[in-house]
Amino acid sequence: MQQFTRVIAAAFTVTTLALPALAGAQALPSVTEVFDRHIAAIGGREAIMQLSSVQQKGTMEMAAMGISADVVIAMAKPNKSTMTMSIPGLGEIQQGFNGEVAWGNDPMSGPRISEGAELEARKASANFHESFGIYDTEKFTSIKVLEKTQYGGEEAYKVEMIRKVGPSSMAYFSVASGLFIGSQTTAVTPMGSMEINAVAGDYKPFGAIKMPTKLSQSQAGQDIMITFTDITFDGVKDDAFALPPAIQALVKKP
Amino acid sequence: MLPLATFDTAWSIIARTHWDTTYNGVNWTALRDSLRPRAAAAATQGELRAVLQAMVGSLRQSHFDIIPAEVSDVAVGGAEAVEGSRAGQVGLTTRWSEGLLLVTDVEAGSPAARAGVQAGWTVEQIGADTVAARLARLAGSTDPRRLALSAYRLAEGGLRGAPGTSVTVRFRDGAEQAQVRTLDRAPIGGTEVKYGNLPPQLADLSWERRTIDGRRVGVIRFNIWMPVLGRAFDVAMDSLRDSDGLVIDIRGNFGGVAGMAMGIGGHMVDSAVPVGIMTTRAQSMKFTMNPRRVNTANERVAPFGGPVALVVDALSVSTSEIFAGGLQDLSRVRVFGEQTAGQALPAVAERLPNGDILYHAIADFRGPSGRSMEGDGVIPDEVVRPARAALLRGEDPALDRAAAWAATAPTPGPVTRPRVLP
Repeated sequence: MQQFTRVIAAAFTVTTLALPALAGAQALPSVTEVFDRHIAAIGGREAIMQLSSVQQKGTMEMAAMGISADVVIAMAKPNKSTMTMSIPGLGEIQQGFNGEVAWGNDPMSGPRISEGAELEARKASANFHESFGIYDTEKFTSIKVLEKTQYGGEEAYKVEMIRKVGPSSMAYFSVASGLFIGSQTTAVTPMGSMEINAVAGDYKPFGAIKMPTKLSQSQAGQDIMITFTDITFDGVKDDAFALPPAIQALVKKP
Repeated sequence: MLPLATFDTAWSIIARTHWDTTYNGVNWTALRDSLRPRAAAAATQGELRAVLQAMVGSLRQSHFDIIPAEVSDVAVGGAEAVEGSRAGQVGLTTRWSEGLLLVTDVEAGSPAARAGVQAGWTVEQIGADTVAARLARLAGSTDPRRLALSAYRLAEGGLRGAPGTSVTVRFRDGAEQAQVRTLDRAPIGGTEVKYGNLPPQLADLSWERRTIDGRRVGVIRFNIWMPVLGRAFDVAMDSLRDSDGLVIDIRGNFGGVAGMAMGIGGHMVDSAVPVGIMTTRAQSMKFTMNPRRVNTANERVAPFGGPVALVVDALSVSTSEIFAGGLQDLSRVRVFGEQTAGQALPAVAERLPNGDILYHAIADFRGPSGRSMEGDGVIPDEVVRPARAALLRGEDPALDRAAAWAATAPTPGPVTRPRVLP
């Protein structure tokens, strides 16, 4: 809660300084107001802060190419995550971060661990509560509400989020509902920097928390739709984030 | 309305995704205006496909094609005679060389082997089709690589068929005597895999160890870049890791999932260098190889550091060319065989409203030196063509030459930095 307050306070200061003309002309809400509306809309800060883990199961489709996959994503406090995508004809694509080691494994490239700028970016953006809209102030240089615009087919507040380390992004929040509805990010990948446009929607309640069940992404000109059908909280065991044997071997020094 | 919707969709996809906004010099809007009335008037799937083919063909670039729904939608295990899928086969490999359609390989235990067919024989007639004579008439009037591809397709089109059927083939043996064999078609080897909208493909990998003057040379051959073979390649590398040299035979490998080049290439480099760069209209992506430091038993190992020879031919296409050209640029491999197809553009396969598949390139691809493999393909460091006399002696000239080089070549220096790419 205190961390969140620091983020918002710092961001609001920068916004005021950077956009004096727009502030009056468009009557934009503050960053605090934008984030607080989203947090309240999905269940409230208190409920979110009580969460320790989440598991999301669903499907990924690249409909135009006829590719579909089962997806399982798990995240846990403070910054652990893992994802497994099973694609017929291709196999299993896995990624993970255990707080120190960021890794990937797939039948095309084989096992690998992230290093350098890629690792720093993974570390910087790994935060369990960020997934719910509660940000760590220490990780950002500034956060600004830039404008009211159109995104994902609706009116949205565009929020610029500049990280001290790692990929910065634009986040979009629905003017009508207050919910986070998407982002534009430059991801650091082994293939270089990659623009990722995401649209989140179809929020549904899973216990005390509302979560988006549709996530459409555009990467490298390809449209990807992820649909979550099952979301559960606080049931992920710590061994879900254990490094697979091939990654353990990579981490060991020769 | 369906023909028009199909045409408009195909046109729009290319308009939106072609990496070159000049469309390789084609006025894309004018082309739509000229072809659209023909699409609207199309009364059959065949007529519509002809219009669509005219559209994609106007680009004069590889990886633009219309795949009929009845070809793409064959289920894995289907019995239809579809190129690349588990149709019945007779166990022959053929190549056009020296003005002849040569048998270059006979699979052990196959119907062709049981019928006594031998490498070095020529194929003159398949069923009622005097294929060799037809191809001979084309020789000289078209690019030799196109002729090689046409020869392959004609031969495969006649030799493949529903399992349980047979085909009568007239050969000419090493003594120039006519040999007529009726060959049964049977499912042969490999793993059938369907990836997205692409038709089912047969994926096969084999490896062997040769000893040449006391030196150990590992030979790996595979026919397609499909992830289902990734593990098999890893296993082969584990078995051949102690070899003095390595030969990778990708003749007749028509490509597949381009990302595979990063993992396979990673077995041969000790640093994360790109095998090339893919550039779409929106962005560039480096195909960075992943140095493979773990074996299949999850033990730490070093990537293979010895000499590596690649064997290619005119039927080495797409990802095969990306891989061969990229590693050749990095001086990590020596390439043997024949000039590759020159069809090396990253592509995707999208469904159209009529059910057909629009196969279309979405990016340019260039190797570490900045060159494109589209068009010229990969020029071998040592050109070695199939020769009938050698085949009749039981030799495989390109593979034998590559293996001999790999046995004695010095260990190359580390690949640390591409010459052009950042």
